[in-house]
Amino acid sequence: MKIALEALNKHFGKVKAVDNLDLEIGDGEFVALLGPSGCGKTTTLLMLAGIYKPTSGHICFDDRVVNHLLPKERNIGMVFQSYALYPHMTTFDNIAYPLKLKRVRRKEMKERVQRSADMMGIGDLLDRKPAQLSGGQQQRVALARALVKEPAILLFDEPLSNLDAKLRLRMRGEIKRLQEDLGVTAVYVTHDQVEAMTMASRIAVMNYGVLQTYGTPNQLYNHPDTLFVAGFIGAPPMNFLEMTFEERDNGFYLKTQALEIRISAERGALAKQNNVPQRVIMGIRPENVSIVAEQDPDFKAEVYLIEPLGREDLVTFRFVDEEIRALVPAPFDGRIGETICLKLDKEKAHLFNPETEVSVLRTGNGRSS
Amino acid sequence: MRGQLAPYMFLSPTLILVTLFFFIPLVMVFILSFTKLDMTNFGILEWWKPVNWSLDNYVKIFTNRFLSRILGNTIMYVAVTLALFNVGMALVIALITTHIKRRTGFAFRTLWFLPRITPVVVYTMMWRALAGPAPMGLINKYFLVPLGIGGGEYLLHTHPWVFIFLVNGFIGASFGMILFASAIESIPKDYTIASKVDGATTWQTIRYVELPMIKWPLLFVTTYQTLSLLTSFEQIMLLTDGGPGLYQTEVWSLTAYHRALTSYFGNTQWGYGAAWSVVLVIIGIVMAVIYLRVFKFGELVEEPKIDQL
Ligand SMILES: Nc1ncnc2c1ncn2[C@@H]1O[C@H](COP(=O)(O)OP(=O)(O)OP(=O)(O)O)[C@@H](O)[C@H]1O
Ligand SMILES: [Mg+2]
Repeated sequence: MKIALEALNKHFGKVKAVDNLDLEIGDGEFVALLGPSGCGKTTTLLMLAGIYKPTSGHICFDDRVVNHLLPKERNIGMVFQSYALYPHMTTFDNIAYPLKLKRVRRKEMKERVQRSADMMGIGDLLDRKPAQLSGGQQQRVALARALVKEPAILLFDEPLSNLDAKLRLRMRGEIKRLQEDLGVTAVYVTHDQVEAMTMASRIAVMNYGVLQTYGTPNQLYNHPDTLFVAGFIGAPPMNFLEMTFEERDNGFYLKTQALEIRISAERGALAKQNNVPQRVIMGIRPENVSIVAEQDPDFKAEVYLIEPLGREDLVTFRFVDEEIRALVPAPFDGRIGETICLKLDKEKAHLFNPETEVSVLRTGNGRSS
Repeated sequence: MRGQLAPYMFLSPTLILVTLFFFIPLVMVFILSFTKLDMTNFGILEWWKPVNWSLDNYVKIFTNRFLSRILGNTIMYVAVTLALFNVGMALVIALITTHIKRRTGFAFRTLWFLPRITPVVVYTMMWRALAGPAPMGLINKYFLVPLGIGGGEYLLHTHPWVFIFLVNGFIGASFGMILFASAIESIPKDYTIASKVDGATTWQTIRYVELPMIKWPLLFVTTYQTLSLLTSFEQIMLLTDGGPGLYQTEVWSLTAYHRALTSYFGNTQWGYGAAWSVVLVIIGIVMAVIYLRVFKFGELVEEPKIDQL
């Protein structure tokens, strides 16, 4: 089922929980709603489910406006962070609940419950109460309950937040695979960007109820539109330096007190075309900062902190009064206090207008390059 | 030694009061119920001596020719008030006021609670005034007579039970209402949202999700209100005093009061009245045990069986 949100608003008194949201989700697509706490993700999901009435705007399923439809008329399955398993019902009764409400015959109900339970690998836990299940098992029951009525849309509200790291990783894969196998449209709310990146075909990033950007994980990671997205996506986060943009001798330069880098004519021209201001914010990911031998460094900086991550080490450098972090191959053999030569991958640098916080490297179609 | 005594020193005022005015009377009532102590032999009968104890009072109770009437009245009074008001209406009000706007619901519940903090005599007398014969009684004057129902008689004489139920019920319902409402409000929102997404109507969500989740307060209110209805007699005493017909609205606790503390012949039969009370206490205990069984108390405190996935 295709979903379209058009100028969707939800206000709680003065709070604009969702502010003029436009979003299109293709049939069978897996879309993640990503954003910090309180940005309106759950509110959006509950409007999709029909629990909240939009203040204004439209929700369309397959080109049909469904604003007025009750939750039970929307054929939606939902999985909660709290699992929301009814504590007084057994696993069987929990999974069977949507079917019972639909008055499915007893025999068919049994078969369908068994089938979804088996699909989730909890077929032998049907007579337990939720309190007698582990967190991971409860999450599977919740999934089975959401799937049993063969919904057209699956909604997830941070379903993995309460699981331990290892189980989270495993469930992440299982949910993604399941969604692909069933071909059901899925909207997945999370504030964990790794979850969003790994699972979704497209990610909608929200902040203060406003859609920041909507694109594939690759687009969001490599070509962030806004300063917020650039800083929010990626771990460890992107470095930001305030710099001056200069054009001289037919070249484009970015300068601070301590360093000057030259960017390609192509990117410089693009920035100019987008009315780049004199002062810009340059963003560069830690993996695009590298250590070089003495010849031809962009700048030198002092090692301030070394954080080993196993495969790589995250090193924080200080220069003048700036700070920059680099991901370098482990083991990093520098010592704290040592001065090191660094180079930036200029083609991977992002430039943002500090006023509008928008990328000045956008191409015509709105996507930054 | 001093250190060990200190806590008891702090507790002692309460302990002394509870002992003096609760435990000692409790034991005394139990002993008295085996004696023939009354106003005529007070100071003469050595009621504390076992030689003066017998089961005569109990035999008298169970051979009383009004026993079945009193018992029937008691069962009807407790069952009807409990089912229609103290649990039934309390639940309905709690459900309605928790499914509308929060503030409106809260305001309504506060209003409903007011009779409970009104002195019981004032409250009951107001009902007597309402039930009065035409043209003084408000119900007669403004409703029944204009509608041509009845002849404007004293309603406590024509329909005593209706008023006993109403008078007790309106106050009684507020207790359950407050407890049920707060229990319903404390159900995590996710459950009701999940239920609606699963395809339930509001009523189905109440029936299958909310009610089972407030099983505890339901058990508590039912048990507590049964016991308190069994032992409450002040409204009935003030409304009808067991009348208007012979033993027409006399309930067990009122009988105990009448036998022990008032009497037609100016002699108050303390021992006999105490026996009525003791039987009532036993009935109450039996009822409480039955409730715990019916509500499957054991299942509510089941051990979780967690294992690794
Ligand atoms: N029922 C409500 N009444 C009033 N304000 C609400 C209500 N629900 C949400 N809000 C407000 O709307 C905003 C968005 O809330 P929402 O629950 O959608 O955030 P979220 O993105 O899901 O956050 P989290 O990651 O913490 O779950 C918040 O400021 C919140 O306080
Ligand atoms: Mg949320």
